[in-house]
Amino acid sequence: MASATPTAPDPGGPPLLEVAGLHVAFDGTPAVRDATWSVRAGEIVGLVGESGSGKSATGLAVLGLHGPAAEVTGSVRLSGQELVGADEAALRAIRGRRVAMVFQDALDALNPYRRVGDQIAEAYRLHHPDAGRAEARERAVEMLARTGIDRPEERAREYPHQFSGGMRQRVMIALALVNEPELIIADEPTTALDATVQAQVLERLVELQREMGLAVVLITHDFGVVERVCHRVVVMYRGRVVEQGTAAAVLAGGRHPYTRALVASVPSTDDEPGSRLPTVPEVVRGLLGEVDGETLADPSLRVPDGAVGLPAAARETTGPGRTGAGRGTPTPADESAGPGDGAATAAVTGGVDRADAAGASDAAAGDGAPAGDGVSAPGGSGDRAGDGPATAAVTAEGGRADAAGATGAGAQGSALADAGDGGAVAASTPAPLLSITDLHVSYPGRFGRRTTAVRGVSFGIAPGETFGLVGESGSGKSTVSRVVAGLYRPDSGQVLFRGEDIGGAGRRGRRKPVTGIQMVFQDPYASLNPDRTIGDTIGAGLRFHPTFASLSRGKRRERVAALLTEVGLDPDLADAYPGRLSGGMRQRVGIARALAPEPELLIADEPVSALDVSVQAQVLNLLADLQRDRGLAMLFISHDLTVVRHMATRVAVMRAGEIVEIGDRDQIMERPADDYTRALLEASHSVRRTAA
Amino acid sequence: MKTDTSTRRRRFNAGTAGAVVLGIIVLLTLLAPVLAPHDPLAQDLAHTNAAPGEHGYLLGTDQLGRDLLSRLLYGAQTPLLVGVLAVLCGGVFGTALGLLSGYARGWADQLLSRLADIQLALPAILLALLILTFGGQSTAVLVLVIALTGWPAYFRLVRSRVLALRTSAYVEASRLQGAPAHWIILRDLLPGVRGLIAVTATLDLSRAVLMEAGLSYLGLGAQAPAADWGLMVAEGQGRLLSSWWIAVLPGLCLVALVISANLLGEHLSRRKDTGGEPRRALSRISRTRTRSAA
Repeated sequence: MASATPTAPDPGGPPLLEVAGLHVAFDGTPAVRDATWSVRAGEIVGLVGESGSGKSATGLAVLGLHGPAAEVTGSVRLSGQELVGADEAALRAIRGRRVAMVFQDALDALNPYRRVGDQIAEAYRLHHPDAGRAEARERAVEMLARTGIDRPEERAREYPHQFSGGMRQRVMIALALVNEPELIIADEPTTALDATVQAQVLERLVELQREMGLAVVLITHDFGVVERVCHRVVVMYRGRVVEQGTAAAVLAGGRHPYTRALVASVPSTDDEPGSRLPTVPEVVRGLLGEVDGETLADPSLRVPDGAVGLPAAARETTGPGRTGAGRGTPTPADESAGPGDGAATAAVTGGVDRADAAGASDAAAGDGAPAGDGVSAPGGSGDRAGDGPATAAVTAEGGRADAAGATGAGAQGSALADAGDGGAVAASTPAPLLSITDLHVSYPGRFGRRTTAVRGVSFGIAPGETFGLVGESGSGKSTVSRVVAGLYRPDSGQVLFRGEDIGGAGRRGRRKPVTGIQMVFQDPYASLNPDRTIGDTIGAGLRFHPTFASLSRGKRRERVAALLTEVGLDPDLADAYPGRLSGGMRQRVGIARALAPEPELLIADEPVSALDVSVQAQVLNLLADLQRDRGLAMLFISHDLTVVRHMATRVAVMRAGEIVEIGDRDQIMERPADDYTRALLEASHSVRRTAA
Repeated sequence: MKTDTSTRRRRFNAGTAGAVVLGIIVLLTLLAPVLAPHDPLAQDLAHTNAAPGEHGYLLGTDQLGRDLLSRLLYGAQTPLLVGVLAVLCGGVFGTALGLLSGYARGWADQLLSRLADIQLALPAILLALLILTFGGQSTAVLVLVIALTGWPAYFRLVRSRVLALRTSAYVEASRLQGAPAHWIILRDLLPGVRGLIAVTATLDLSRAVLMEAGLSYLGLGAQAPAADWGLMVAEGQGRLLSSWWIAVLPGLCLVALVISANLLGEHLSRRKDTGGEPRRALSRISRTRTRSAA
């Protein structure tokens, strides 16, 4: 990773690409407004923003790829040549030759019916009409080799689907670089990749950039990527460039409030785990007071002198001691839920979430005092641990030191982790809330063979504890969650919930799900039925619940309204359909649905990975608040170690269906025993927070 | 969405045209008792085979001197009634089985799917001939026969959509809430196939109307002296050279009805984003149909 550290190019060089006063509108709706920025030769510029910020529209407009529906005005100059309004022939001569693009989804961008070598060779011959087939092929193989593909001769004869995600992205890069362009526009090139693969691809891209003296415009939403490879950053919000500057300066202390808020809301490895994440609206309010989205999009807005960069008060008081606040305290989401209250905040995030409007001051006011409350353990499960069995005590203050060692031993022996922990802490091991022993799961695959997704996984979750499961795609972490939820049946192994085997391994037919276990799904769009009202969706959990089934219609409505309020939504939304909700609001509905049957264990399967950065913090805060206030146990699943570190007190790392390491959060994060964990840790981004 | 509206603005909208023509036909049929200048069954033997415009008959008369205009106005009653009822029966039956089959899977799904295959393999018109010959000729039997040949289209489409929906996150969420199967089928899956059914039914209507006309033409549907477009074509075909209007006018009416229903259905299938599935599944049936009817 160190080799990928950006080195600044000659700062005095003339700009290669100059974008000035660029406007892009689709059907009269502005997507980019008055954007002005430039790229010098040999420079990597990050174009950063959330969905709808206009970053991708800018990238497309540079090459005239925006389609006939878009109106583009302003100026885009490539070495002085005007591209806006240039004729097709002139643009064609530039596309792929002087400026090339790398797209996010290489599977979409490559032709599935042609060998990758042929596709690269064709791109070369397009701009080198004199080149023979053999020469073009040679070039293609050479480029594949340069992007880090082994056996390039052989692999050039393969089709896109025969490549893994990371390798396919390398093919895309080879395709873009074959004509040795001066500039590459890469639109979220590594977003769909696993963290370790992402790191490798980025590293390769930076090496090539340096070898070939390329300029790169890297469109991304990820500040981790920016920090790692970019020299300069252009931050976009609502179609406007709100800030630009060197990557280090912007990350360390953006001058525009939105930039600061965005950087602050990403969980970081420097954080106190379990602390409340400052959300974008909170930070902006802390800096400026009430601001609507339109005002915030003003590029001339500056962080006032002497202003505190973050709602520091909130972060400190919501740290380790926060547990003391206990159940009775309404969460900040509660307080802000009143209609009207969050209006300004909602506007700030571009019409996203209204909750978490309670600013720094609210949070601070509620929780200043109980910080010293003795029992509370760092991370939040202390209260429950007190009345709890020995397993729970593992997460409590006293047992931490011993537990760290014991867990390590337990993991290496691949024994049930809780048994290992318990042995060290207490002589007898009362049953934890959930305990999984030697779980094996497989799927029917092709030709009658079964594909094994999970092999021999064991772990336990104590009441009130948040247990993190980390792994990359295909590691089997989601399969585990589905078995626990009762959606899949394991081949063998035990799933004990409150001491009762709910796994049903070996039996036939569908397993009846247990209402004590509920799940928050990854994709907030797919997980809500578009044809049912939100109230109906949430209320169904009451209708079929053993105790709540007898509730009258009116009582059920009341409970639904209370749940909506609890997750920070307007209770009037009960009669609305999901269609008009943003992703963050939908995820809140998904959480309310999961809470309706009063579960003891909440499974959160990548609950924020489909959400925008500014909304992620709000949803993570909400989950943490609920977990604490309701005393929920949580199985938190993510590919992102930083997020898991933030949420969970104990962590298991999965790879290829097995748990490679399990233990206390700090032990995993600071003293990982397994090489794979270390690789994951290195790959996970750590964004330095703005200094308060 | 945006591209949808813009293309709709730019292009002539065939779907609306289909809906308008279909609406006019239905309206005229309903208002036939008011609009018809003559009793459709009244014979004027002094003026048989009158050409359009002769003797005060706007569209002429047939071989028995019956007013063709009145007969045309009344003539869509049976095809439309039978068509709509057959679509309802076939649609409800096929959809219900499709929902069950797709959700339950297993042996029930296997059995129903093979039944649908068998149904599709049998030439519809031959099956109808068989049943109507041995089972008697009533409107009820006619409706059932047409519905029987139509249900596999609904079944297959609904089943394949349900197979995709049943693993969707929101169905999984309902299962986690403890919702029973019938609830999931009615509340989660049925709304998801509504658009698909609407489109299929519109396209199926033209098939059903055409089949009714075909059976009437073969003498197994509406019976003389009733006014029925299919029957009228049959009655007039012997005089095509001397009195073309007797067969051609009801034939044109049928064409208008079928085309308008098809246009509407096709338009709906594009708008509802069903990927043109109903069109393809139905074309197999209607192709057999037109061939045997011709």
